[in-house]
Amino acid sequence: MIAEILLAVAGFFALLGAIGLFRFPDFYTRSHASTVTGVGGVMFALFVLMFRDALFGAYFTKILLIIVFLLLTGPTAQHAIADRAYTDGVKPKRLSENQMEGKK
Amino acid sequence: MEIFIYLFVAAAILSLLRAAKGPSFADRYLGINNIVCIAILLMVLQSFELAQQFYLDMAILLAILSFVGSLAIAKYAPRGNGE
Repeated sequence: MIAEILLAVAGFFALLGAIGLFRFPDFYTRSHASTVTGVGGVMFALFVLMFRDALFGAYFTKILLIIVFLLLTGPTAQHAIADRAYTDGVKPKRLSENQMEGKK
Repeated sequence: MEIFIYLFVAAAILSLLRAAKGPSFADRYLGINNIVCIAILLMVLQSFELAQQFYLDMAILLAILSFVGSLAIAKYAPRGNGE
């Protein structure tokens, strides 16, 4: 019962993040929305599914490994992609050229 | 029980639309990365449904491969593709 309600909440967050990913104006805001899907949806659902097994059983340990791995590598990959997009000239939409260079 | 799967599938379809339409390579990467995250979750669900543990190993493998793939995109995507 509780697990089903929490999984429905996770699915709602995933859908919310995907709607944001579809409708936001530029790359940087879209990367924010994609993080909502990743953490609020998928990792929350994995966290709920983790406690279906006994404590430190096989399912518990492997899902814990997946969660830790996603939490470690997700921000790293996102940072690499955002750095590459910035040096490649993808511009934020509502920012002028001077603000992007760091001048007032 | 099953309704949340439809929510995740709807999220995956919206991410696929963004990946098909995104103006730069980075937007396409965001859509594909979302789809991979949702696929990891669905693999874990499948492992619970079928009571087969190797689906969990496949999920770990998919997480590792998505990390390596995103680093490869960040290094080797063609230059001058941003708007």
